[in-house]
Amino acid sequence: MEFVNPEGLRLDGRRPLEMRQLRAQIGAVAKADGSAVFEMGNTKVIAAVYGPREVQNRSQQINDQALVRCEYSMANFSTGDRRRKPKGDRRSTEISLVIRQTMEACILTHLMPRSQIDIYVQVLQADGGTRSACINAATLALADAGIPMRDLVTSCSAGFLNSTPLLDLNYVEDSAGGPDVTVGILPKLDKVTLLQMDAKLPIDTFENVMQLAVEGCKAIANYIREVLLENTKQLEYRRGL
Amino acid sequence: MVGLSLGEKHFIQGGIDQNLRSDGRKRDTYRPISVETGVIPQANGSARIRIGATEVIASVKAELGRPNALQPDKGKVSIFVDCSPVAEPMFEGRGGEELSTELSVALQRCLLGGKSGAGAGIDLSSLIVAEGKICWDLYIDGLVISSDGNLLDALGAAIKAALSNTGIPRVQVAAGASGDEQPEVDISDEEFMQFDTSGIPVIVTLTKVGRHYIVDATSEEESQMSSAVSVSINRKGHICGLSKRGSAGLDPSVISDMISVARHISEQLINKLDSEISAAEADEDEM
Amino acid sequence: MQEEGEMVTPGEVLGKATELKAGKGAYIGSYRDTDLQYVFSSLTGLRRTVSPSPDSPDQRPTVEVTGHKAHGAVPEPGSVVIARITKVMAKTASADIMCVGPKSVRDKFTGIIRQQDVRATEIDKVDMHLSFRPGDIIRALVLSLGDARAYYLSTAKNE
Repeated sequence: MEFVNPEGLRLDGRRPLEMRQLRAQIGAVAKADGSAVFEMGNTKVIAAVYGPREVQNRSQQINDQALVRCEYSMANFSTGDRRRKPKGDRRSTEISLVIRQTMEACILTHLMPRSQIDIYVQVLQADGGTRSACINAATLALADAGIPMRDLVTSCSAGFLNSTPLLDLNYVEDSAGGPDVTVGILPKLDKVTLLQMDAKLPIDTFENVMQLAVEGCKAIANYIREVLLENTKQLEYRRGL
Repeated sequence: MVGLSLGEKHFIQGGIDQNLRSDGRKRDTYRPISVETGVIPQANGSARIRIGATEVIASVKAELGRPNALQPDKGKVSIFVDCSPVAEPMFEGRGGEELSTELSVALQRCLLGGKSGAGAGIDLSSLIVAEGKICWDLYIDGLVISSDGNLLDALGAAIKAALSNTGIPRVQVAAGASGDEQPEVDISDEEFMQFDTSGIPVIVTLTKVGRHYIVDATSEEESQMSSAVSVSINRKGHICGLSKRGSAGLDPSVISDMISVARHISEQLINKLDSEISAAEADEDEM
Repeated sequence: MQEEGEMVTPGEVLGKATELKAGKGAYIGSYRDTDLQYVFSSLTGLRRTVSPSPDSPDQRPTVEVTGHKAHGAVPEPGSVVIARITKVMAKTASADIMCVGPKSVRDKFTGIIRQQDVRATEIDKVDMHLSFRPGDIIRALVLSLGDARAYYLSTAKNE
């Protein structure tokens, strides 16, 4: 199948190095301590953060740092063909774990000993890159909750199809069977905290693809910073400062 | 669960007694309702409803299937509700299952009528493509995103809005198939048929707190309830379904009183919803 | 150097650790695997620089970031709390903390008053059941974070 046509355009009309449209909104769930909706093209996820609060299950309490927990769930209507999936299948358990580890790496957990932070992400629409969208939404929700973080974590994926590196794969490109590199970075500290790839890729091509994904992460980080600053400005304005 | 102090409980109950609730509403007023349709592009129809801080999404997906052998002239509709842990940490893991099932069953009872399909808000015979062979299966999914009480009414309203937003492709059945053979079908990409949603009822839940009952209770008010009665009523004023929750017993005369109040309120709610839905559809068309 | 009252997001550099101290909403870390120590922001909000008191030995100003989210009050050793007694036993009494100073708490915190912390004098002769009854509202001092279950509280101050 042809994923990049001779004019250099992808199936959805993007250029190989172009990202889908980003949209973000802070404060979607009234009851949560922090929440955000994050959209990458047709992928749409909602994240809510509860905490820091008292540990619910005493046996999980950690005496010198906060306990970070994460649950990932997909709405029945999020995928093209409707399926009723049981909760806690292997895929969602794995993604929950990935998100938890990524977020744990950036939260200053030692400042909140014996407490618990819950991150819940719900996929409303899935069109490739849900992992990345979930991490980006979780970052925004954590920042909204005012939880101290080392840096914002952002994530983006990149692939390699028709011997062209492609940024931010959608569902069709993702299921084409080519390599899919998902990267999560701490943009200001310039550190990679998440790196996953399936399928195989020559090492020098891999470096290019990964570099592309990192660039994508940085672009997302800039966008998230803008959204956060704009939100803070709005709040200040409403407070009458 | 909402943790309330004694003083807060008294305050809520006192407010209800005096017909002035803690957010300034009267006993029989709803919180502001906002409707957005077409929020899930993959679905045949979808809607998001916000009532105060409660927010739900409903989506309708249609698939071709075989009608039930006992009812060859009717399509099938099923309703599932999911409570996202995003709305309440309590719904984590399997924690939301009980409430999800309770809501799904209550919605099925209120909107789909009895087992025979009689009295359903949706005309099931309109879902038939070829009698006894092909029909549309409608899957209605509800998702609770933010919960601040009155989930049932919100889900009912969202499903009503999602169904008015639904377009089902017109299907041509190839002639010539006979006997038990499954006929060939041709699904149109351009022509869609809309549902007649005027018969779909709305759900009004009356929550009894102390001696009085209120509509559209917030979760704080719900924590103080003794019992609640959900009535689904259509535009003609007919009662389509009824369910009572809560442990306390109710006097039969109180129940009939509640039903007549619910009927009165449902008229306003239907008008309000219909205007919101058509405004939302107009917004969507402009986009 | 950035100006006062500027809005920052987590991960932004606020200045060099040799010139600044990290206050609330800021932390010190090394920059990109170098040995240089910098002060970073850990919250979204406004940065503020607080000058050191003239008599402190460390003359670096402190940089703080104030977020917009108000967190519930959390008891810490030395704070005065208002609590309600929930259970009285022979040697201890447990209480639910309701207020820390003038602020009410959002989450549930439990405290324990041990027999020796009830009053300042004759501490061996204290009868818990004569001192407290469930439902009593008390003013107490937080002694320590206590064990994993509860804060240790004291009412042993003459006022």
